[in-house]
Amino acid sequence: MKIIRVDMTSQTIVTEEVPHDYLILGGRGLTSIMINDEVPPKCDPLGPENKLIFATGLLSGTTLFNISRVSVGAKSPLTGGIKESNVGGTMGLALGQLGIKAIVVEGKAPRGELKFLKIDKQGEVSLLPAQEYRSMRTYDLVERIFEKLGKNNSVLCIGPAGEKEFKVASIQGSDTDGRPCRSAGRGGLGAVMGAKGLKALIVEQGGKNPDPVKDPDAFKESTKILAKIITEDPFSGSMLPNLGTAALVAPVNSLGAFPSYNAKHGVFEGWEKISAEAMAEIQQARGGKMKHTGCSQCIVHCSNEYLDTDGNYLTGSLEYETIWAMGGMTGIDHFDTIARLDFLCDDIGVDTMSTGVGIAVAMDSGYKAFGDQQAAIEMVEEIAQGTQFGNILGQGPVAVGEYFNNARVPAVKNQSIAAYDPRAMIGNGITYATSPMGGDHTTGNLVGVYLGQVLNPLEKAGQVDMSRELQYFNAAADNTGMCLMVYASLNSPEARQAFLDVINAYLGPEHAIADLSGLGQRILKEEREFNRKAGFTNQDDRLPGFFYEEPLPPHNTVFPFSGEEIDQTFDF
Amino acid sequence: MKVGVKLFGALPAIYGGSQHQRELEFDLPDGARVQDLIDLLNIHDLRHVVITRQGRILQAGDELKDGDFLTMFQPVYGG
Repeated sequence: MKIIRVDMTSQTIVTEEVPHDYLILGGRGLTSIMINDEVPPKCDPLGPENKLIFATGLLSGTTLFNISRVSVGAKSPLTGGIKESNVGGTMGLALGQLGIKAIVVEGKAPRGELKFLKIDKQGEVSLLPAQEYRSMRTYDLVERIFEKLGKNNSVLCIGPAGEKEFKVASIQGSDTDGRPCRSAGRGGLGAVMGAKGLKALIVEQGGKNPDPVKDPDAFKESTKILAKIITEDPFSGSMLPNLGTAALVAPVNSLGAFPSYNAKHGVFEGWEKISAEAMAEIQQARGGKMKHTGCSQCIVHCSNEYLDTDGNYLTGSLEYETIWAMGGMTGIDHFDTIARLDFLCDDIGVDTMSTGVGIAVAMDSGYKAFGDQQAAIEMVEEIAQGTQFGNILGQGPVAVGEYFNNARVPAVKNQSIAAYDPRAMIGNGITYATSPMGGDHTTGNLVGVYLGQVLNPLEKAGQVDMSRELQYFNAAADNTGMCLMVYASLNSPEARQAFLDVINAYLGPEHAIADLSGLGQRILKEEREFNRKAGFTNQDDRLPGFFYEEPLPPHNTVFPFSGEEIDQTFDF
Repeated sequence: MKVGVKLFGALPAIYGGSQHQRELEFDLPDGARVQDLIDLLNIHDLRHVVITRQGRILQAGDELKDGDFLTMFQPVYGG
């Protein structure tokens, strides 16, 4: 297994063997620990000292299912802290098959230069000029790449927002159909890629690497057990394939925790119109797909292909968090408009969540009315056009709030929260506050704990411990490259043991991991250490004031945890 | 008493025989509890179904009231 270092300043490429200390790492574990080891914590995130790391999961490239996530890590220009955002599609498999554990992009290309980083299936790595693709949006870009280099390539790329180094810029990944609808959306990693002068990472599929599994028989056996658990689970085996992540719209609204109209209400008036069930009916009539395989080696099929009224492709992989940010938060209850906004964000290369929340903050400030569909579309377009407002929206919801002098910005460490209001699902507020990533839906989301009736979402008992436990587990799971939609279903002790067994069958007895929680804790410690060195204190582990002051209907409750209680989550 | 219910996720196909937009209405005796509704719908395992009223999850022993509107869906883990 190897690490490829690309110095954009000198345009040189070096290949290294993976150091012994990193052998059990992959994905988020690898990006975060490498960043803590190598990136000066106080560096300019958009300067040459920052490093952009693409890491395959520990198990990527093996025969295990749903293992194709690629973690992208750097110091975030949005949060100012450590950042990992992972993306599905086909890149994880393509890199894993080549035995590439990480690509570390260092330095900064000479001003005005734009490059492709190309890896062919023999593992040859080269930097190619990409000047002619400047300002190109992602759908056109990927099509042009396929025309030139063939469709058997996986692409991670930026749009105009990344080139402009906007703090909400995403990195878009091609799916199994070659569409750049998968996103490493959070934290402005597209801006880091743009600052380096890298327009796209292009990897030819079909590489061959000697199978690195140490105990193939045990690996095969544990894979079978895991597959049975996942396919028989009602959520991953039935709900996700039929409704996707949008299946959360009904439960979260029913629990009064769907932040709407810039987090003024916990139930969105028009939520049934933007539910998964409504999307399924609309798409059934138009010939769209609710059961779509977006990522390599997927056995869940939670993605979708959303068609317009004429039966033409409108967007792909329309997810719950996007439906919330572009729907509930903005007061838009028209599915086609939400789908259009999703497409625009993917095409321009911005995070749908931070962008939707930024639009909601602008609407809350009186800039436009809630529910104004055309205004929302124009605002997103303004990011690409670089208008005065577009330049503000592109820097994230906190920048929008500052511009309008509006303190009602639902963000932590400058990154917007996700689709669970911390006044009605209070444990999610603990995760938003304490995650080194800032407001986030993947690092320790308690929604399943509430719907499984393990904890009451409105009562304090057990929330801090559960947030901590989930943050540890998710960090360890994000080390493997496994999709959250799969590992979220590994709730029983037997399921967790099978997951650990498959990891240890891969690693062999010499490097076996004793427990997943311990690995997760190690990753969290390194991430929080980086943030401390970057200047973060406990005071950064707090929610915005309005969550403590404004009761959220319908429960009319506020976020109940004091600073001291929040600080009990981590003692490091 | 009358109780309205909307089903989501895979539940309409399993229990309701209806699309989610149609609200189902049940006649239940006064004093009926959630368990009575569960029996009526032939739901065998409450762990696979979440029932809410006014933003709160109901338990099998909770009493229902005339005019209640309930939503029913399956546990979802998040994403």
